[in-house]
Amino acid sequence: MSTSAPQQAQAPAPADLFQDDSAAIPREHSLVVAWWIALGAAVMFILGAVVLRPAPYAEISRFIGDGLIVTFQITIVSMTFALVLGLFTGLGRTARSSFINTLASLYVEIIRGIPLLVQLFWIYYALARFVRLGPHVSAVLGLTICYGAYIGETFRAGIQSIPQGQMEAARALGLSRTQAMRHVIIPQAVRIVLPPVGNEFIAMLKDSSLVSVLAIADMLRRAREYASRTFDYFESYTLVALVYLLVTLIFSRVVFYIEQGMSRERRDYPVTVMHRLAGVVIDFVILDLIGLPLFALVQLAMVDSPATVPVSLALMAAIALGYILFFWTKTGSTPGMMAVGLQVITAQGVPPRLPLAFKRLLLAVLPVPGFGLAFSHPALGRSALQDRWTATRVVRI
Amino acid sequence: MLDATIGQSVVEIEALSKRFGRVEAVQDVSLAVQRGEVIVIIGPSGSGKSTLLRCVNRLEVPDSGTIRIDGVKVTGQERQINEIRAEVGMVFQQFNLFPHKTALQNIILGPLVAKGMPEKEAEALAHTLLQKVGIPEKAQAYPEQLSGGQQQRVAIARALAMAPKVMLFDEPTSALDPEMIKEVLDVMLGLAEEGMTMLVVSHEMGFARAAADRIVFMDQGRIVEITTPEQLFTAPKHERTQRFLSQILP
Repeated sequence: MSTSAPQQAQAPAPADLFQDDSAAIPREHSLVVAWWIALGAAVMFILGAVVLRPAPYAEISRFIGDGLIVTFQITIVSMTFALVLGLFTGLGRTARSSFINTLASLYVEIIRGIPLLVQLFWIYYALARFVRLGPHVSAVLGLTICYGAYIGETFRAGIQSIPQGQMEAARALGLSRTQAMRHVIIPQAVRIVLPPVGNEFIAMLKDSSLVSVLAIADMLRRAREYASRTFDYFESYTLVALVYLLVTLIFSRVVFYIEQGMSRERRDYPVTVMHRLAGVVIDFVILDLIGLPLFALVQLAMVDSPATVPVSLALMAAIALGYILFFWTKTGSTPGMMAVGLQVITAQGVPPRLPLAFKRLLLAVLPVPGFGLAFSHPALGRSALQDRWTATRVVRI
Repeated sequence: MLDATIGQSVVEIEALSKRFGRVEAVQDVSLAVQRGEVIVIIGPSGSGKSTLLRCVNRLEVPDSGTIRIDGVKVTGQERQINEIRAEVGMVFQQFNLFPHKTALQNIILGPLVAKGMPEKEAEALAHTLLQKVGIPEKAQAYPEQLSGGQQQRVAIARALAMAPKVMLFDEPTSALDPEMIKEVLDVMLGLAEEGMTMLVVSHEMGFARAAADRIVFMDQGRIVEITTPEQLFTAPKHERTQRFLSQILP
């Protein structure tokens, strides 16, 4: 036996992995720089405008603030449903049954061939001949159906990118096709599709501005209302553009962190089921037994909007989905991130009459998933907490 | 050793044919593998060795012919296939370890999911098997942290975890760096000595000489000759076999 074998067995240090890739570094680097420049410019312009010319800008920002929350709520609810629809579409597109396969493919081909704006018009105005759907339901339905097709394609690509040998190895062990999908293919595919799905989320956030045509008071609609009253078209739309830019930049960074976190986690921290279980139990106690009632109270305080209850239910479903994903894929930091995002956004939906200190408290107390993992598995917990801290800091801006 | 049981076929291949489009990958091949026997299949590339092996656990569906595993005829039924595959271990050229699972998790997946073995028991079994293939300290390592030879040894342990009646090796050392071939072959030799029934596609003549009970030479989808190692290396019968051997032996 050769003496060099033990050395070769050593995994390369994470730093080497990045430094080796000499061709990729300059591009990555310039991307990061561009991101900082864009972020800095957006923040500077927004702050500068609000501080230096408060007369229209501060007023506009107050006016479109509600709209931003509506934008987030529509996006998150639609994204949750689109993820479920997309997963089934992706599975359908890779299914052996030609009937299911054709059905899924037909859905994808048809939906991708029709502009989202036309779909929204069709659901809200044309479908009204048979069923009258409210603007919010139409908006969520339209975004879900449209993005379900795109996300389905992402999932399909993810599933098909797993080498054939993985399925063969699983089948050779005696696993059924379903078991092989569940234990071998999908966990790997989810890791691969997470960054592109994150990008779909960002795309949807931007596309959700289309729902303003359904008389939904999202950010764009609110800006239009303001401008039509004061004729400050330039100021209103400039601010809206900057806010969209800022939010998009922030989320693109979050996607980047998720991407990094996933590769890092797998390499560095073997996590046992016990760690995960303990983490989830503690997370559940802190996040769900304390966090969810709090967040339900907050939602109940927003009684002025009748859309709140279904929105709350959908958010809870999203958190539950997060936990399922968490256990199924055995990754670690995604549901916490999702939950934090959801909770912080809802916390920002607190009506203005509640004191600012209370909102701050919500922000500080709610983003705690990850403590559970920190107790049960220090290394993974630390990385999860770092991700979570990034998320809270990001959303607080 | 296992003299009492020798003479009973673990794998019985009868008149097997498989074609891919116009190519006749395997033509009318019959072969019976006795319990405890080690058979090495050699032949030029494209001679149908791998296809034959993959037909045994039905990773390829044969066009005609029958296969019996331990006397049970392999039909196309989904449930029966899963049961049969659980009894037939397979080791691939490219290892095909699950990259999102540790060595230990790779090994316990089969027993846990396909057999419903309790997790404690499966883990104990996995540690024993890792000991057996010589890398007990790598239980918590992910495949990307292991060398090629270590990965292939984990893959062997993974297949053994199902307590198979026969092991199929599909060119297990072809993707390895030269200095890692030996550590894998040593594990295979150990298995052969313990009386494991093995069907090995390989060009490792040293292994064939040391472990094979019979050597099958295939060309263009057909078995050209079945012989013992001694006979093959000293006096191969067929001209085609001679030509092949003259090319691969130094």
